Amino acid sequence: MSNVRRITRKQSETPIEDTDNDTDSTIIAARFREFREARKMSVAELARATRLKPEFIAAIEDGRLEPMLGDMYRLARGLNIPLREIVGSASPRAILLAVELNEAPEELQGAITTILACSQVKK
Amino acid sequence: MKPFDLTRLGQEIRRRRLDLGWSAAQFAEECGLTPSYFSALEAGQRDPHTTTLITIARGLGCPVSDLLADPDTDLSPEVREIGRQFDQASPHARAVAENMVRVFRDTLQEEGKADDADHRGDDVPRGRFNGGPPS
Repeated sequence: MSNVRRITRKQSETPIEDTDNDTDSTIIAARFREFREARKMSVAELARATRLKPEFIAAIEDGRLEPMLGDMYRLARGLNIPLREIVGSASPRAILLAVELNEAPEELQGAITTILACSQVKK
Repeated sequence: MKPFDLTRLGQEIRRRRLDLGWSAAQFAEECGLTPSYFSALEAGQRDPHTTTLITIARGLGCPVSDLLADPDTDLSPEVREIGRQFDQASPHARAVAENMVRVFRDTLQEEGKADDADHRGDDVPRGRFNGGPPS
């Protein structure tokens, strides 16, 4: 993995808002647990929804077992969260709101955009 | 449940690799992958492990999430932006946003119940604000 870092990147092409370029597999494992807890689902419930074994899911969340993409996708579908948001960097709370808003009328999306834009915390 | 579209992933990796001017063999070597595995991956014939995906995303200089677009589940760009802004908003604004969504959801549920059981008016709204938007 170390030699990959030598590849010259076009930094300008990396969107500034995405800071998850240093994601590693333990972070992704932890994110699955965070999202399951945010959904208030038990491992057993997620196992039923995905038809994966509870022990398998627990091992993935603990980072003892590294999932393949197909497994991650099944878990994401079971949680009803887009996979790219689970491996992304936004908080589970933000993504839960966004998932719910995705089906909401544009007027509500617009109103919430305005409220959030008015209160951006300066860092 | 449909499986993840590995062909789409392969095409996305290939497009980004070519944009950066890498040959498949060069890129595979930089990532520590065998050329045959990498070709099969780009052809959508391999289900990669998490670390393989991460290695490839690093090589391409993009977040892993950029490789995982999925039309079946993706949020709209506007809503993704709302999620991003949420994390930078004040605690008060975040709570207001969540309450607005809750009121919207509760209103839909109440309307659904009223339609189902035809006892409109009997139910006390369960939202935090009792007077949600007029239905």
